[in-house]
Amino acid sequence: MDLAHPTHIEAMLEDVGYTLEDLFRDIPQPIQRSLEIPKGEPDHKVEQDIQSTLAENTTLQDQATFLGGGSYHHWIPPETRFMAKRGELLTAYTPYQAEINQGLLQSLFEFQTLTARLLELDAANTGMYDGASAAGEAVLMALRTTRNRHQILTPEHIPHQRRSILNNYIDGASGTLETLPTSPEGTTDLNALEDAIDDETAGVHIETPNAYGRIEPLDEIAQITHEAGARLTVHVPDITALGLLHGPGHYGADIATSEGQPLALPPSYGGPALGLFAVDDAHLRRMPGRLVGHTHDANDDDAYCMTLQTREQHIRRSRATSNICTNQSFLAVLFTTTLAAYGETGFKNLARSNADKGHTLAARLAEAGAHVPYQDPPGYNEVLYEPPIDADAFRDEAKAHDIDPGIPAKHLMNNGTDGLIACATETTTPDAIDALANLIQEVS
Amino acid sequence: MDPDTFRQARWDEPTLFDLDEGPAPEGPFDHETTNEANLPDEHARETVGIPTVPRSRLTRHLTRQAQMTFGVDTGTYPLGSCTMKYNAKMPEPLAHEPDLLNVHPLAREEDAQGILALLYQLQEALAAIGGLPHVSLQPAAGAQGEFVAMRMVRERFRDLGEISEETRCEVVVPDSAHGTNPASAAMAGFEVLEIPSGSDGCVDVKALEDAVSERTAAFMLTNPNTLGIFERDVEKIAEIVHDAGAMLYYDGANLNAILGKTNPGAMGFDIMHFNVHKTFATPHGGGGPGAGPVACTEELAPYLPVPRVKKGKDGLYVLDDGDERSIGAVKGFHGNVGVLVRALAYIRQHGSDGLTRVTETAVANANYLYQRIKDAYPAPGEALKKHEFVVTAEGLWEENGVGATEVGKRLLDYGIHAPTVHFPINVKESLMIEPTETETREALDALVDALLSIGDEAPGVVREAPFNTAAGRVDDVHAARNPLLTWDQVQRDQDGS
Amino acid sequence: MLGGFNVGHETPKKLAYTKEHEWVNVEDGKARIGITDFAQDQLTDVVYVELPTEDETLSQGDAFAVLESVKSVSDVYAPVDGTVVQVNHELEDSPELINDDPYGDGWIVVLDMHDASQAEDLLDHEEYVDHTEA
Repeated sequence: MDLAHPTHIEAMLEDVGYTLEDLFRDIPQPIQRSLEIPKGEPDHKVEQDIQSTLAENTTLQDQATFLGGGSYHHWIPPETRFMAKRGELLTAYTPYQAEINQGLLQSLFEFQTLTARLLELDAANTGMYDGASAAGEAVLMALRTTRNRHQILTPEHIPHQRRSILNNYIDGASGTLETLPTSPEGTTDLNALEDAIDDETAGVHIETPNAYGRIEPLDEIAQITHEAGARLTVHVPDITALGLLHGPGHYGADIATSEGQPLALPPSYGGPALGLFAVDDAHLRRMPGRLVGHTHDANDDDAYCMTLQTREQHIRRSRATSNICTNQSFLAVLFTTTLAAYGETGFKNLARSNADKGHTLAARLAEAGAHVPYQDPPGYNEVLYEPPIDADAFRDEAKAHDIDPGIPAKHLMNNGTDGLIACATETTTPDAIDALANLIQEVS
Repeated sequence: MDPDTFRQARWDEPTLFDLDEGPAPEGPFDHETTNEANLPDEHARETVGIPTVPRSRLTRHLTRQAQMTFGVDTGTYPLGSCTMKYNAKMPEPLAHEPDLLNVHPLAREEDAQGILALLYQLQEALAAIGGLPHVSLQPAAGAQGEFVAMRMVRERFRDLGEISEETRCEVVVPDSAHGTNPASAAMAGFEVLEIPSGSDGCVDVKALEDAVSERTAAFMLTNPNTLGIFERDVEKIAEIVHDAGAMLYYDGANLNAILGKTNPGAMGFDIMHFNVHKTFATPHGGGGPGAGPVACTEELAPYLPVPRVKKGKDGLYVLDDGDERSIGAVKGFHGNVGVLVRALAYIRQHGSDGLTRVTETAVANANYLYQRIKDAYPAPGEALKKHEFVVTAEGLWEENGVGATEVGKRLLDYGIHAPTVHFPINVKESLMIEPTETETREALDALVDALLSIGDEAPGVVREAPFNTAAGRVDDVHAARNPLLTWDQVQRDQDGS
Repeated sequence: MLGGFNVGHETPKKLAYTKEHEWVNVEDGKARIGITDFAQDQLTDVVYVELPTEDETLSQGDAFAVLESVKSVSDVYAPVDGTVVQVNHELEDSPELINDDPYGDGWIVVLDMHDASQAEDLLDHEEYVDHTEA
């Protein structure tokens, strides 16, 4: 503990005419309570105990793991891990005082630039809690920027937890979520979209590459959406895909979001993560979250500060664009560091490696005897497959072989899809893919 | 106290985009590529726009950015309502343990028993600290915790059949509430009714009685309040709110003031959030990540976000999805786990005795500080403060145009971060000061000396501060009139002019 | 930067005023509306103005425009009933006109008044000065 000794506190208080008891005499006796938790423990004991408890986990290092579904295991460059320990950035607050926080502000400005470039839109904020809640804010923004429209259309192949998040974000704005069926290619059914969309539709919300690893036909979706006067919001669950694929803005998305965790830190049991959020210029003042702008200082040198704060809760209160306050700034710094460490070529190679691994995985699973419903054209780094036996039973069987063969679709999707959704990234070894393919052959 | 000893590093540092050397023939890290996947051409992009910077230059860039940033590790940070305490170093590496980082959130429960055990321990600890029995760790930040709570209250009244355009449609907040309170309530679909505080800065009990009715779904309050004053009438407030059939919500932002003295459950609150990054000292990261767990009564428990960690009969930990009453999820997976593990480590390190001392020391520091500066910077309301207080610089402002903003900017020259300025809005030229328990008496005295010395300095100098920081006074008016949020927008703006 | 500290405010005698700090200049049944020198000084530097559209119909008391400074947001209310016939679009690119010339180039809208008698209920110069000093 880093606290002054009680005798020092008593002495300090005495100098201003107080005792320690005086300080709490304003708390009425009937509501006074002491803490009903154990007494403090020495640092080394807490540390050892937490370390040994964590050691009970079976990690990605202990078994061949094919889990994605919104949290992705990518290699994090050493520069990023180095930056994760810089105390000045780690222990700063939100940079309200611009003059003494130019470094953090510049980093966040770089992050905004990278986000806008990746998603191919005009402007971006300094980040949201995670990709899933960023998508919730995007859909809410679609509702707020269309008058008298209350319906959001989204394909049924969005993972059910992310669907629940969307529902929570739009409930207060009287929004409703309607689902569209999946096409035989594993993407959004365009005919169904055309039938369902009308002047009640505020927005169409799409994920790409979607939960089955498929690339959605955003061109056609954007056209249908805009003809109906609705907003297109697009979420990219793994940002590394945009090292190969065009960003949503390229196709005309009005608002785009993504999950930046893959480039900031390992899965860490799902959090913290990092939401990316970008819009076109027309919607700049309606966007949620913190923004950093370029300006100059009293010496006319380049400088940065938080800007357009009148959108935010601390000024506009109940009329704010969002309630967001603390977000994920530090992860934005780490995300920026990873991308800068990769550079243009390195980042494109990273995406290429993921697509290659994903494609190889799909091909090997099919060869080994699994049913792979959506294989052509090739997708990104995730694939839906049905093993020869029941998915849960197969996952149990795989445990004995030190393999986690993917997420049972019925848990992730809850939409009647069977099978497992497997993910391969640049970290997935050929041996791991061999082991999974062999296991499928064994149980066939 | 001399403002001319502190100097922040001042690098004329270009952005990554100015340093961009253009795409290199090969990337720095050789990930295997086989070129087996041929994605459809219409989706393939030629360029992404990631800058290519030599690794040595990149490291210097990052180091310089760190040097031009001010954290609790750098100096005193009395930013009111933010609880910028020194972040104990012991919990930090635990969040970077490979045995935590490398667990996937959708791993089999049997593969995640270690982390589930820790999350369970934290749920139990928070329930005890809050005096409310049920906890969800999912919300990513305090504001998201508020939003969750308002969603839960709405679903509860929906189930009771009480939600209509006339009933349970409104959330009441004091005018001194943090902006997140009304914003969260509005996001959850409630109308917001702000009631004026009494002249002492506390809830005007009569005004509250008049404001609540069957229209009211909840009253949102923090105690001690925004002025750092304990609401002695809190039991009466709870009674009024409950008699109207509404819920009482506790904003956990000021929890650092009451650990081991009272708790939200004892005060009569139905639901609350914790800011674990404030109270339990996880570093603030320049604006996150934090975590905002929610605790509530038995009545509201079925509405909590899921999944939650439960202990099964066989002693194994399981993830429980609740039933159809749960609001579901507000963010992906299980919460900001890395932040939550730090919080658990901090709570265990301190324990009941340590956390009580945390509060005693934080409140002692705030009162010492206030007594030392009150002649120059008086505060409204009663003299006894809790962990923070709000003073006014109105005297200096009237006299020579040195207001809260100017005092804050000049403090930076002394190597001390500014307090929160111009909040709350019900105090003119307000400076909200929260020293926290981790500042030594020496540091408190330095802050006192700086604040008093600023009052004696030449107003012309103070008004132009700061001078010793990486940038001089930043033109935020220009930034807001001409928003340039990306490097590309800056280039276009400069080409156009 | 020093708004609010020992600065006298201009309040032209020929204009009418509201308690919400709008000024009104009525000529031929048309009301030209802006905010007062006192109001712009309280607001500090205006950075963004949200304007109504031409032909919008307003009732007395309707919030028809929003003025933003770096750290505050204020509504502008219609002092009288009327239809918007002119909007000062210059403010979109130059919001600073509100600060620099509140009674001239910083005007906000012109309303075609629906009821000319409403002008009589507005504050005169003296009443407004008393109001700001109260």
